[in-house]
Amino acid sequence: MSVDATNYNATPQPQTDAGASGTSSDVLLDVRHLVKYYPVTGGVFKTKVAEVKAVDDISFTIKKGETFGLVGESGCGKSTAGRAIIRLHEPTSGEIIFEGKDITKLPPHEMKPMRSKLQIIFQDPYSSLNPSMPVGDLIGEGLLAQGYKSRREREAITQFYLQKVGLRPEYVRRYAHEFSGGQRQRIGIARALALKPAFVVADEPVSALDVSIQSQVLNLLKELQGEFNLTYLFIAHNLPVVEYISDRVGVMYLGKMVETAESKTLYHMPLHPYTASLLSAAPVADPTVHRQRIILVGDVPSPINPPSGCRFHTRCPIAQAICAEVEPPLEDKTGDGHFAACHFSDRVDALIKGQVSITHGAVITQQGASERIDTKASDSPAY
Amino acid sequence: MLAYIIRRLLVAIPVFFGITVLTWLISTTNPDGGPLTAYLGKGGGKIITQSEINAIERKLGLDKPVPVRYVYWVRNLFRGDLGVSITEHKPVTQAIQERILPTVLLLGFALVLQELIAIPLGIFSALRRGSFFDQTFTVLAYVLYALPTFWYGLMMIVIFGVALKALPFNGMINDHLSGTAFGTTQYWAYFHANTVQAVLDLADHLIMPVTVLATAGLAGDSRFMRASMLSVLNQDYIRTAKAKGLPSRMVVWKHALRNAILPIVTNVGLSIPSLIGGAVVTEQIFAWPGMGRLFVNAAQGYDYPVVIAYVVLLGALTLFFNIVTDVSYAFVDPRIRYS
Repeated sequence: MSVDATNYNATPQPQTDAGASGTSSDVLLDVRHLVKYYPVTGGVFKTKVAEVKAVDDISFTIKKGETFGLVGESGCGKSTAGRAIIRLHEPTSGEIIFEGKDITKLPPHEMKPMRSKLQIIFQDPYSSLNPSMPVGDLIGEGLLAQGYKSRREREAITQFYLQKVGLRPEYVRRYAHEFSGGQRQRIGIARALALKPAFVVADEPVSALDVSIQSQVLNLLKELQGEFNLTYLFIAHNLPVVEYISDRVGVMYLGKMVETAESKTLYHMPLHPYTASLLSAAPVADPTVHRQRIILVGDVPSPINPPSGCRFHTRCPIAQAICAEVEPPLEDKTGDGHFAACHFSDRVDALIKGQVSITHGAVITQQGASERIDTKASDSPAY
Repeated sequence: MLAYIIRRLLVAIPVFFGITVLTWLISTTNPDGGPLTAYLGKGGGKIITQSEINAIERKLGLDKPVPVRYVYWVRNLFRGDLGVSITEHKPVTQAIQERILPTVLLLGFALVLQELIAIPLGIFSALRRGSFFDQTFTVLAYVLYALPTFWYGLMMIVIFGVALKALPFNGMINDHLSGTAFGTTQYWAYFHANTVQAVLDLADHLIMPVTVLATAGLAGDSRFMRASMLSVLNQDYIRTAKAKGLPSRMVVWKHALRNAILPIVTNVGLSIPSLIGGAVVTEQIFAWPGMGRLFVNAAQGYDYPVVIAYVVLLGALTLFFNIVTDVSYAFVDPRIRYS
């Protein structure tokens, strides 16, 4: 490790304080009514015929130093939300207040220094690294864009972060294809961190990795969060992973936020039937546990033409007539920051326990050790 | 790497001989009666006695069986002797030597012009995908691609050569200026004495055939560049580059182009043999004294030594440039390591 890098180590991380006192200063990122539509073009003249409502009016806040988990099934808009928040994709409308400033309105020259504070770790460690550049350039290039002119300085910073993510500093000369998936994801993390971000979107950072490597990378992310004072938006579809790493969790369905709560609360007392069904689908590493499975019927409706009222009503096991007409607001149901967007969130507990009659759109099954043995017995041929 | 190159060259040797054997087999099984018919001219009204025929056969070595003649040919090949051209009445090596420079001039300029236009055009339409420019250019590219060069070349001659009298369209130099044909010793003396005039005269003659060749190849190459660029622009690492906060010009030039240009480089590398092989149709239309015309005339005149030499030369060049392209890949793409 060179002297330069050691000095760099001593430099404190830039942490701009919003300046305000009280609870508002704790909020690093405030997403307000974020909307991202993609146009669908068709016809002879490629006119806009429809819009994919990938993210449709979501609001949430992330406190400084916390990890906010964002879950939902494929295509629900969670990755789009993550990318729109750091303006990697331009939001259609809405405000993103970062450190007290609405970054959606910033002109390019003011956005440029902001880019380094808002970083992202991508899902696929194989395709997200340019194969024709050595690792040192992959990591150091962002620094060049931020005005680090000296090559030696960039290399020192690169090597410092390579070490921080558990790779050897001499790897700067190697190419990405010479590394394993886990190592490549570490390179992706080092790349994001080298720009000294305050906020990092982790877009399914472990989904592409082996289970044995996943926990290493998760723990690395946790360690780095403490060391560099990072705030994470952790996007994933793996519920136990999100539970492990997140302080608070938001659940998305078809471009909408349906529930946000403290991680523990959400996992033990969901107040939205969609969250309840997601949780009932996650496998539990205990074969003796008896569980209720809430199995949703049908596919996710098209985000081009989402259902009226509550978007979940077409598949919801406890939907009533009102659900197709009135869109339920995302409101604090318990008074302590447990938000849910459901007209009947008070019935979700009964749904989980199987004490409610199913209206439509779902099947509830008993699943547990005894049932599985029964099935096996009946399926086995008689000898 | 060196071991790889040597191994590739060693493998190329049997392939080369395979090419020569095939070429030989095809040209000696000519249904029109074989080499002697060609030598004597197809009938021509003359009556030749059998003893005369036998004498000529002995003189040309045609009394030997095909395998023996092939072995002689190979032996002569290593002595730099490819036989004597029947139509041109001179050694094949000399005939080829005379034709190579005109062909390389014509196709070299055409290739450079073609890539200089095709690559930026392809990049630009990929970056402006779906725009008015892109769509107009897509239609235009298909029209150009579909145009047969013989018709297109003739139309250019009719318009610019005959009607407007703006450009010459016959041959590669104006004989009245130099007083001699291109490539002769007198020509080079004239060239040194009046360089500016000679170069301008050459350029004048090059304009039309080069334009015809370049526009014909332009369409395909620019589409290829566009497709390559588009596929790279959709890669995840382009999004990574944007997320780093790089200005878009850096994303396009440093990240996208460097990866997108690879297939184009291959394409150009593999087209070098045909650069020497000449353009059969265009050379014929513009009376360009190149390799393509040499080959056509040889084939029409049953000039089998020239045909064999031409095919074998092109085969060897193709083999060689395939190896060169493969090896150059390792230098451009760090993922490729040969061992």
